[in-house]
Amino acid sequence: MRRYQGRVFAVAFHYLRDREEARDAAQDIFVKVYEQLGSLRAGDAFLPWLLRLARNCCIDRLRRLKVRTPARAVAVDEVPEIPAREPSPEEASLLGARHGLLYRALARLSSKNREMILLKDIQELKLEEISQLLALPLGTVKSRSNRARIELAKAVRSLDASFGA
Amino acid sequence: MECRDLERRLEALAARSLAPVERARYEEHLAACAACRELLELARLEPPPGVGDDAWVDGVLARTSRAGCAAAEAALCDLIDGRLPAGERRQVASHLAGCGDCAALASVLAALAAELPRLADLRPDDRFVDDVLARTLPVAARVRRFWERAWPRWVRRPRFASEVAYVGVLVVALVVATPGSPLADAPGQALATVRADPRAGLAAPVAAVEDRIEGALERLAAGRTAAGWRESGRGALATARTTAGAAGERISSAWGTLRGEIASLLGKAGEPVPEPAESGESIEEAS
Repeated sequence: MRRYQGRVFAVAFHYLRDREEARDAAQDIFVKVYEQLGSLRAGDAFLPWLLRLARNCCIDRLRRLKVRTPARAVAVDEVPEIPAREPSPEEASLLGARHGLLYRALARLSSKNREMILLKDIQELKLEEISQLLALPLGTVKSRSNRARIELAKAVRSLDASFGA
Repeated sequence: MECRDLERRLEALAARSLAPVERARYEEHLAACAACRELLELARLEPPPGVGDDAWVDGVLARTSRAGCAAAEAALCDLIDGRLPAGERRQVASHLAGCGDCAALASVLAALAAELPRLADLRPDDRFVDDVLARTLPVAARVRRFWERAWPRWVRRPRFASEVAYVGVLVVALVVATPGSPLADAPGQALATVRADPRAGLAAPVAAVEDRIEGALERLAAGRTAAGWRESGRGALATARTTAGAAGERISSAWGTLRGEIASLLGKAGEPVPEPAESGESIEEAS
């Protein structure tokens, strides 16, 4: 659980856009993992199974709450804490601002594109795994993923023209 | 002849590949038309070095028909991921070299490819794991886990000793001071014991020990003489000899059996039977 809690929390936060909701959802997800671990067949990759379960759980929660993901920008101080890989406070501060920028740019995307970015570029699932997870043809996943990345890159540029320079 | 006729054959005229009769007609027109003369001079100019090679052609094509901004944008993700075939990669790279917007977009995409995976792992608060375990573990395991985690932290606190002392005093006070408690008169008894003369309590045990010492001394005085001790020694020696003799006989018998077995095995194997060792003889003799 300690190994995957960060990933699950990140997925929940991306879907729910609220720290407390994401925390509760992540708890629900792990409880479901505990209950449904028997359904994981031998030879199945654990991470796609976990992410599928997390996604379904988050979507259920969104439906239950009857709210839509807000299209508002996410403030930097709302962004959850990034795991401590930053070697210095200056870099940590810089990374915090950069990640805040990314969250704001992500919030500008459509929910489909945001989900594609989450699965392909953030969680680094393979196109085949995403195709299975979303029940979409492989070609559709590939073209939608490319479109989402371009859209995100344009959103980031519009927020900060120096990003990537 | 009109200028338009010459323009139609300009390429062949510049390459000097026209038949002499036809060329003569055009030269007649050129002599009278300065514009056509200038056009023919331009057509006969040699291109400067570098113009016309592959890179130059790709550069022109990248900016015109084959890879405009839309086409380059569609190929950018594959370019960043390293999945673009070499030919298309060259075209897109040529386009990026001449298009600032697309180049900036490519830079952002490259930075995103490095940055986005870092968002995969967000840290929830420290109590997250405990909360999940609280919902999944059985009650007994939860209680055990709580004590395993809480007890060491609780004991290591600096105030632990004073808290234990305080609780101890409270317990003693409750037990002793409660009316009807079987230990209610314990303080009075303890006080009486402390106040009593310690020697009074020791008199009886000391007298008993003195009696036992005196009895022992009397038995020693009226006890055995030296002759009595000698008789006892002889008896013990005889008993020891008898026991040792019996043991020797058992050892001798076992040795004889063992030697017979060895001789039998060696005989079966066709090996010569060795003479008995000295130690064996000494055992027999001893027996």
